[in-house]
Amino acid sequence: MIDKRDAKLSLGFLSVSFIALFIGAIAGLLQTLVRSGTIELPLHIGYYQLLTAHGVLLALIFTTFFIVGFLYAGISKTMGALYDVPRRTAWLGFAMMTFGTILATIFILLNKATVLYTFYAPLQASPWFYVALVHVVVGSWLCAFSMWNQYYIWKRRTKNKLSPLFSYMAVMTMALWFIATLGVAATVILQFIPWSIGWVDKIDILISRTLFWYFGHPLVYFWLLPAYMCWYVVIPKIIGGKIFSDALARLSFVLFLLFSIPVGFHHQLLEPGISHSWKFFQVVLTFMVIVPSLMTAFSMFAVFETAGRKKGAKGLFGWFKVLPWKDVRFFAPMMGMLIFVPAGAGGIINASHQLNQVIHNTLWVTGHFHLTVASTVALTFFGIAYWLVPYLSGRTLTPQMNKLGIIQTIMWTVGMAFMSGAMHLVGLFGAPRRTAYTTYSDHPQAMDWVPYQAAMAIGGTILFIAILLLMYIIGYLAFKAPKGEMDFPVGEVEEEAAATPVILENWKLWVGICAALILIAYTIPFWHMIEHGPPGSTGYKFW
Amino acid sequence: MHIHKYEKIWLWSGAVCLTIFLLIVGVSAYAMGNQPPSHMETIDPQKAALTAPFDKPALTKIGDNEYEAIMLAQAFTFTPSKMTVPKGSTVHFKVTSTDVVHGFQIPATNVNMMITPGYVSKISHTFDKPGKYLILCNEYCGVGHQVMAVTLEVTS
Amino acid sequence: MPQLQRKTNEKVKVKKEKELLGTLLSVMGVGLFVVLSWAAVYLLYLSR
Repeated sequence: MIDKRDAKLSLGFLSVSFIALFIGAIAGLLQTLVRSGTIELPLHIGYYQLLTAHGVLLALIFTTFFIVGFLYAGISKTMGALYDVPRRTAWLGFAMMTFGTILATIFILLNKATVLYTFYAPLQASPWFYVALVHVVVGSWLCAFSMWNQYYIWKRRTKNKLSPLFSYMAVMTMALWFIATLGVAATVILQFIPWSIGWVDKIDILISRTLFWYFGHPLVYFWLLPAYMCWYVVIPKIIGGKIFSDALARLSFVLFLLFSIPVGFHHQLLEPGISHSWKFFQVVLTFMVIVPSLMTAFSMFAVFETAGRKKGAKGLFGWFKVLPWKDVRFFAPMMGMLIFVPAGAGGIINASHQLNQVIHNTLWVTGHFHLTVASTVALTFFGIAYWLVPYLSGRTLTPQMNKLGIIQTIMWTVGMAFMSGAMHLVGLFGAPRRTAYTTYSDHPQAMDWVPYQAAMAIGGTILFIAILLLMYIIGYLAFKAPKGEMDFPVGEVEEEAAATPVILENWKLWVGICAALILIAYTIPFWHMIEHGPPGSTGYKFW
Repeated sequence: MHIHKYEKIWLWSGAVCLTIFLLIVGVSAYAMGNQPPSHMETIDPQKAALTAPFDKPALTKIGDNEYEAIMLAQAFTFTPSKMTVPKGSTVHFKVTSTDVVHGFQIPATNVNMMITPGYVSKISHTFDKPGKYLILCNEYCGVGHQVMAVTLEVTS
Repeated sequence: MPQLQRKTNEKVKVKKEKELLGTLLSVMGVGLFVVLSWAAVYLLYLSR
């Protein structure tokens, strides 16, 4: 058991995360029902208002709170109890983030911020919505500072010992997050807030979009890296194996830091004002960030095969059968990993320069990130929660809850297969994303999309039932399960694995290269936007 | 750093595949002109509807089987709202927004681009099959976003 | 000392690499899936 005070801190973050997940899931269910034409919303609730709530609460709040809570627990486990300053800073961060979350939720529910979670200008929300977002981001920065501070003190006290793999990855994840959120903080603080209050009349749209997507792509890696931490560090222990290579695991995280940020243009491939050569350059950089995922795929299979062979599995694929399929701590993340195969393939297609014209802003994209963040990442997080929540609350994961967790995972996978599968297909036919139920005056093409939207609603309903089941399991594990000691699984490295080169902990070097790549990829096109930008836009409230 | 032989094989094959993908899209973009829409011309978004050529949005014949469609995107429609061209025509769309960000997409074609206020977006397409083509907005633009669509008829 | 050094080196050389053929085939399967999906969408792009 980690220090009680750290357990409380981690549980604090996890609680907000699960409340956000539940509210976001309700919005999600209603959206699929509206879009299939099954129901109409009562009480003047708008489809786009739900969509805003769904995006903000799930993509930003559920993920960030869960990640920070998980990282604190793992840091306390691998580096020892948090020192005083880092812990106090963490609570301050928690308070700011939670305040921001509540404020944002209120303004979304008041219909004062129906701008979706990407809040593209010149749609103009209440200034309070942007102020709320700043609180979430700055609060998360305090958490980043606090984790770095912990690492720094630990390094000094241990006379520069090699950091534990989990903590190294936590420091890297927060470094990525901090560098990425500088962009969104800049656009919100320098552009959106003065403009929505009325201090300035106009906003430069392309600059705000570019700053947003400078943040928007590393955001998806911020979701993914903690899932990879579970795969690299936790899963080997659960399946009775060893970490394949400490050095390669760290190297992959270094590569994520370097290549996940200077690639935001691949979200802006179809917009004017950015020359196609800079777009193509960032497409090439985007392809570089695929490499660490290829490394991860190999590492994971290698861990499975090595562990299986140690257990005596024979033949080419005998090891696959002896994996602990009946242990939800393995099963849920494993489903997440398998789903990452189509998810990753879709991602490569999305980033392929002009191929983006086939799928941009269609439901294919929605289907894509419901495989990445809402399946790969979410299932891994659920798999973590099943042991982390009882671990932190001094209880145990009972066999019964384990079984329910497996059922929950299967339901999630099946529900997502329906919903995301239908989204991918109908997206290829051209159905737009982020659009309420419509047949475009009964246009035959749009009529062809309706059955797929019904399949999305079936999937959405299954997913919602799975969320209810998840809430029950988590509630039981937090408050009702029998008291006892759980294990926080942390894998050990193979004895014969090569030593980890010191250079992987040279932060100045990696952050320096990261900054250089960002400057190379962004300086000239960004300067062009400023120098040759059109007059700005006034705000619109079209909802 | 020691890397297993099979991992080297895997990483090299991955790298080769990714390079081939990049070469295919790169050659298609730079040698054959299939670039994603990246037009650099700007316009004052507040005065877009008063600025030529967008003060008279229309479909004009500019050559044999060649048309230019000057279009305005505004919440929640496109102007002109009805257009007709014969089969085999190439249409050059030139679009700008008078208010918020919109999308411009013709489902089941490669016509797909963002309409950012302050910029002029351009894309061309040859319509080989007759039919009523939907032109729809695929970026959330407000409460009426789902009705923002017009049609382009291609006659045989 | 030099002798000892050589001995360890030999030991490293003799030690066989891990049996990971199943891993290689699995990741190659993943790679094949990626290539096929990419090619499918590329053909769709060409046909439109």
